Amino acid sequence: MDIFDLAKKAKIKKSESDPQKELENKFVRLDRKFNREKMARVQAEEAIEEISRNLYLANQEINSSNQELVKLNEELSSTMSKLTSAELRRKSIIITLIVAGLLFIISEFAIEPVLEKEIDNKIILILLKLLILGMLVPIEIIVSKILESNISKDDEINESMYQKILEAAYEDGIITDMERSVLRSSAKQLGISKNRAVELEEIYL
Amino acid sequence: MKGIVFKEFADMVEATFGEEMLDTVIENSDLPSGGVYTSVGTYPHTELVSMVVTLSKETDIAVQDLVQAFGKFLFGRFLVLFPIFFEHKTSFEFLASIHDVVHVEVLKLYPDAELPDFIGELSEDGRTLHFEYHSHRHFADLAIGLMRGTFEHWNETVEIEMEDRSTDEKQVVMFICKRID
Repeated sequence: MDIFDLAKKAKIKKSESDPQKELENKFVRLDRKFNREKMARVQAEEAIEEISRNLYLANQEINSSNQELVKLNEELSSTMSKLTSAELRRKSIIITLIVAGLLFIISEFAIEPVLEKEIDNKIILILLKLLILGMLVPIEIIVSKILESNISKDDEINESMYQKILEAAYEDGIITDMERSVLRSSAKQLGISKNRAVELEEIYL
Repeated sequence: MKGIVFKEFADMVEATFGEEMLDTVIENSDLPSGGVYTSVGTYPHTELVSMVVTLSKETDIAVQDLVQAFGKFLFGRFLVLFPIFFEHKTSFEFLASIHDVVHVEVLKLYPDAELPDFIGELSEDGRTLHFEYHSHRHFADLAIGLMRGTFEHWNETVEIEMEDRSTDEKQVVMFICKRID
């Protein structure tokens, strides 16, 4: 049974029969109702203020954590860059040493016996050996160039990763401040310049 | 108990019995809040009990009938205020989702809400729902009213059986709801 059906069965005492008295009672009741509504409004405003203050504090905390995150990302990016460069250098030295070893073997067992047989002048012999040694410098340069060209392939992978991050950020159609900050630090970490990041975003849109 | 329940109760009393009755109920009940409620506030559930008892005295309607009727009224209001919770195909689907879906969403809106436990289990043929209600507030009658509102909304005929398993500390009621249409 719903409340309106129940109300039909209710036995309610009759209210004041004197119209003047009834009017006065009504005024008192409405005054009480007005005061209750007024108090409720004050309570609601206090609740909103408290919620608003808590939201502000939570937002401040998020911003502060975000800034720390950006700082950590930058440190990580710088460390990664140093590590990449050290790794390149190590690879380059290993390759150069291998080539130097090969050149030494060729020079020691194939070229030098022939030259010693053909050339009597010791100075020319030393100069020729120095020339062989000098060839190591351009070899190292060539090896470095080859390694750098492999890095440019890594750039393509990094850009594709950045595009995936862009897609995730744009999934809801809005870029929040936090997402923008994550995009910036990701670009930096992936070695993508600011201009290139803007270009990639324009291409995506 | 969240203020929305008190506000809806006051609105129901005013809409059904008039502003004079609402004033009488508030004035004659022991209400530390003074009858001032906001939807987002939290108030002792004993205030609602006190108001229902007063309304019962003033109208000569049994407390149990009033609480059940309020439950039905409240369901109608929830339907208007939170339609997103009622997009299920059947009433049983909705009732089975209360504990894990509806109450989770309610807690997002009102983190301090103290909600009763509604643990539902649907039979294999989908025609019987065993439904356990746990609460410290002893509002099983309100739950019955809410269920009646639910079945009426989905236009289903359902028989409700109750099995009281309450302890001294809390009210535990097993509802067995059987579809008979």
